[in-house]
Amino acid sequence: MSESVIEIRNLTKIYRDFWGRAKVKAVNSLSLEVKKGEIFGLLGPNGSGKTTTLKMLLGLLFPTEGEIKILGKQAHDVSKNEKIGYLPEESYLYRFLNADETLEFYGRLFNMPASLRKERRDKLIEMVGLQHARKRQLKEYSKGMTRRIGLAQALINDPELVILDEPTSGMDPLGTREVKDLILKLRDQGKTVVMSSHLLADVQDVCDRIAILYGGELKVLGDVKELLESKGETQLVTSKLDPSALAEVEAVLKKHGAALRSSSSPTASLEELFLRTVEESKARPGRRYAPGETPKA
Amino acid sequence: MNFLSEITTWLVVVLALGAVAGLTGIVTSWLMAGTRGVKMFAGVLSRGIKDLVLLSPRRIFAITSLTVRESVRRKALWIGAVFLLLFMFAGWFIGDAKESTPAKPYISFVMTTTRWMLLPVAVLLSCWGLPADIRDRSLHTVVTKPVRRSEVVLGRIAGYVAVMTTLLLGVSLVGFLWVQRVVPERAQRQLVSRVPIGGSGRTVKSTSTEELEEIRRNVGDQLDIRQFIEGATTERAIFVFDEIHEDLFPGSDDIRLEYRFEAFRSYKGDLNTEIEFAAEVVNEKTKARAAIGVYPVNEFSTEFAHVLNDGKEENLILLSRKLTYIPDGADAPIEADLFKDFIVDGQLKVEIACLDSQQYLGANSSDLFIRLPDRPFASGFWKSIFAMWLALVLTVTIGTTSSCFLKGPVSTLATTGLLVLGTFLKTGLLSRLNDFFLQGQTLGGGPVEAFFRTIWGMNESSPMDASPTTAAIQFIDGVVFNLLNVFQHLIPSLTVFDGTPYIANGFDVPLSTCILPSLFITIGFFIPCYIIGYFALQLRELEAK
Ligand SMILES: Nc1ncnc2c1ncn2[C@@H]1O[C@H](COP(=O)(O)OP(=O)(O)OP(=O)(O)O)[C@@H](O)[C@H]1O
Ligand SMILES: [Mg+2]
Repeated sequence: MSESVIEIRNLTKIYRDFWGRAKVKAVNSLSLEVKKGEIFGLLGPNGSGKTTTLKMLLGLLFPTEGEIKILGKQAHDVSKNEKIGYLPEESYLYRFLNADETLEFYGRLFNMPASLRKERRDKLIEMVGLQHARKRQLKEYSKGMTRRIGLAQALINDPELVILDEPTSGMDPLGTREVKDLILKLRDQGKTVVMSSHLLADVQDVCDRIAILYGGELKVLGDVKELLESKGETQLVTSKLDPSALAEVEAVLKKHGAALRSSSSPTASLEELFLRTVEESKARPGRRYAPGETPKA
Repeated sequence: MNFLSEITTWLVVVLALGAVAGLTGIVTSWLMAGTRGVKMFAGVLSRGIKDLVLLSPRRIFAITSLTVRESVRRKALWIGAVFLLLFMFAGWFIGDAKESTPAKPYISFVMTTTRWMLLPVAVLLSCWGLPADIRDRSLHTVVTKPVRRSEVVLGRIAGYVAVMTTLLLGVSLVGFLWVQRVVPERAQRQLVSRVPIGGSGRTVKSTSTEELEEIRRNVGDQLDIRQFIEGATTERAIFVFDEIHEDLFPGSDDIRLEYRFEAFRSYKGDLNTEIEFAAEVVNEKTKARAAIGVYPVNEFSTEFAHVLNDGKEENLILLSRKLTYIPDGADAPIEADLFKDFIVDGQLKVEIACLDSQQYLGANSSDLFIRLPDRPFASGFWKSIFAMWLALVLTVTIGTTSSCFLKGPVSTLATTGLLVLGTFLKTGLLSRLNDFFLQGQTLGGGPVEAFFRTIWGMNESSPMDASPTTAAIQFIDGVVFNLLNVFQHLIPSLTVFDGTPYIANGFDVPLSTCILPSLFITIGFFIPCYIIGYFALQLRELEAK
């Protein structure tokens, strides 16, 4: 992989109250890098600082400490937004506009000419499947529909970097599948995607690399495949074996000094990793793991 | 009004504010992060300048039309319907119009209701929009597009101005037609925009002496602003009009002068004959004087009545261009031209003498004015609507700016407070400041002195004894007055923006004392407000706190 699209160094965010007293340390000395063309997943339990991190990337929040480079620019530089698409955690849109008007409005903010605005609008509305509701005001939309128009809005400028805060929340399984396909398609087009999510299956399906945050600290960072590869194990998946065949396989394994630990279907192992990380972090606060390393069970 | 000095004052105030803000910024950033902080401050400043100047009309327009849509969906335009209702039933309440000026209450009603209903709408719209946008975080989605926050401020202001303009146009159009319909037939001629040229007037013992001796004679009414000259004596009221040229009166043979003198009778006399006065034009250089005529004082109505109910024009002196007069030493009258022979360097001088012995005629500067050709009522009406529009622009600007850093309710209170303070209390403050800076003292002293006078039980006018304490008190008051003097520039007064006193009395709205000052005040507040609004949005995290 080539150049980095996002570089974060020692990023810290402390929320303060009105009097300037520290209230919450939402992000604690976070460093990471996102490379061009990858899908990067930000994981963590509720309140672990995912949204805060994304907002700092976009210049919505000001870091207490640390540095951010995004598309080679500072976070507060508005011109970086030309090439960024952002889907907020909840779709913060104008509820009195309809889908068409919404996309028209954001298109104008990109200074796009009218013909291009119309072309994109039609394409995106079709892509997120809202053709039937394009003239209805957003306040009548269901949660999933709002998510969809939010997603369309994030892609109006054909961005190079797409930042999605829980893109699949509130979506039905079909919608989730579509979003995942869309994210993969974006990568195929050479775009970079940063997403946060709780839905581990989604992350496991699409992300190239992930970071797991806990209490504002980076706990685990690495390639999804590598992270999930259990070093001391080999997993065999075969077609259905009858009990006698299974016994024979076991005998062979015994001969090689190995044991059959389980014979079930593969588990959703990201879930396992995630839970392990959270448990470990609770048990041993302050412990961090080297890139690629994972907490032991 | 001296615009150059006003603009200089404005520049001084704005630059001083900027300097204070800049210094505070540098010091706090240095205290918080040392040299790195100062560098960051410089960065914010240079980015700020770029953001304030490099604007995209299309983006601003997008936010403007969004704002309009939002206001429309919030049913702001319904206020127009309320007006219609008001106009439909207003006639019931405006019954007792004064006989001599029946048009006045209708005009005042339209202007006053329009003003006092639209101003609150402007305050509410502009103070609640941005805070709601921040609270709902819809602004997050906007500012993560390549939108400068200066464009957000401008777009918002432009949007509210567009809404208010629509409302104002609708309401004032209805009001305009309504006034013409409801003003009684006999008073229709009062719907006119008279264009006056005022002069300066004085009352003197005699005009033949070298040194003119002023008369200060009051006839017992404390509130009367006029000085009185006695009839059948050498006492005269002199009026001087400057910058009078022929091209002010294209195609008309007569110059019209309008008067509203007051009569005071020291004995009853014949109440059926009005007290009369004679008017003369005088050439200041050659001392030539030509009689214009003899006119009755409109004694029985101090209310200004430029058009009588029966349609006969009253209170007019027609000054013909062709005059006859008897030069010094000659015995036959000769013909003369008003502009060539009587107006010296553009100066026209008119003398008024009261003719009835032992009766008095009261006059002040505004009691005689040249009346240029009248303009239609629409002229004054739409000019005062324009001034009201400027007041709405100013209100929206202040409201939007305050809503960049305050929440809706607080911003509403702040904006309303500022406008109320400026409009209703500023006159008092200004007169105190004038006393202090021009006369060196005010009655009862400044705030500190007044405080001590209160606790020492002194009255307002007895002098303080000379002591170091007094000196200290007066020094502190001096500082307070100087601060107040700067402070008063920061509160706009909407009084200037009000054209009602002009049009309700049948005058056109003057450019120099209404339209231009309003325009300058609006621009003068707009520029710093825009800058403050931008920095307030730029430097805050858009989290609802
Ligand atoms: N505006 C705010 N003011 C004060 N504290 C905040 C604010 N926003 C977030 N926090 C705190 O910062 C921490 C991180 O919040 P953040 O929203 O980044 O979490 P998250 O990882 O996105 O959680 P979730 O999965 O629930 O979306 C939390 O403890 C939260 O309470
Ligand atoms: Mg979140």
